[in-house]
Amino acid sequence: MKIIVLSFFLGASWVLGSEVPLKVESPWVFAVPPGAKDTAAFMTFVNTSTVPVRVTGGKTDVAARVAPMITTKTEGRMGMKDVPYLEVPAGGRVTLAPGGDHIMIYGLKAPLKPGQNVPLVLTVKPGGTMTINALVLRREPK
Amino acid sequence: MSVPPWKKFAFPVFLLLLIALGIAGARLAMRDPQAHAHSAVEQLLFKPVEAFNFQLTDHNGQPVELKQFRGKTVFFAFGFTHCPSICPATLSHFTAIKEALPADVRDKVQFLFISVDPQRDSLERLKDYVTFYDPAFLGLTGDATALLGTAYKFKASYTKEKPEANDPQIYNVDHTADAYLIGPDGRWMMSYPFEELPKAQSIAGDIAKVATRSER
Repeated sequence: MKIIVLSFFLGASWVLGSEVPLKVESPWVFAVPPGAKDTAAFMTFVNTSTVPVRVTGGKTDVAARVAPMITTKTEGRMGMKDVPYLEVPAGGRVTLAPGGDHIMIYGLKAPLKPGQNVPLVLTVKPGGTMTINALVLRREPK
Repeated sequence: MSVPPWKKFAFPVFLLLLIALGIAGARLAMRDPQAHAHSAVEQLLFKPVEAFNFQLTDHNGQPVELKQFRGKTVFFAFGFTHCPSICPATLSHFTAIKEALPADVRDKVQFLFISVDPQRDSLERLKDYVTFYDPAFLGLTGDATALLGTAYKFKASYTKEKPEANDPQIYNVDHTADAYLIGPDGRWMMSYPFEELPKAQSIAGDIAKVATRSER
């Protein structure tokens, strides 16, 4: 029985599995006030491979531009900095959260509604692209 | 070759001393965990300082000073409305903190968000931004001098970063993201680093203590 279940999972992952060695858990986007044109997406990346994986950017239909960013702290001042990629170590996890690394979403075409799903195409190296649906939330989930 | 007796015992004695020190250290660290669990606000209540006054403009265009909130507890932070990650986090933590307050205290607390980006944050924009989180939150801003002075008084700081080459209106403002708690008597009771703000229950507890203290 165990073997059957195991082979089912193996089979399923073989059938569904793309070449993208990254899993994304609980993706979400900050709901921002109507006038705000920029927001950020957060999620946990799980690298299922034995090599480091980089998220180098992406795109979305709801905004002009998507880019990986880090939060900096200089003499106590918090700021943001564009980075060429966010790296997930081999077999490791990286959680993006407010106050830390994030996927920046520039130039929203329309205000996002809490509860709405935002399709986000991420560019992953090695791997290619992966599409995720990020839930719009007013508050950081606990 | 004979070894002097003190040399023979030196190492074991040294080891024993080390162990004793270790135990003493551990006991000190673990001493009365209850005392540690008490929020820092209780200790600080004994020597809070008078908060410096500030004079700014609220998002309705009214001149406002910290002084005029006497009788109310004030909880505030600095930020700007083009801030995509830190400020939405701060303001959503404010809503969680407000919710965690006892109902009878909630109206005695004024939450403020001070924009340090007057170049882009019109009062109207600031109002839309702040009231999106809670209709009772109040956005404040002012001219560069007033803002610089206000930040200085609270040991806050901010710097406008270099704008993008093709658009001078696109830039970041790096800023300290602490939140400040001012008692109803106008005294500065606490500062909370950004990283502490998710602890809504504990901060709400501090605020409630400060808000009800002066009534005694």
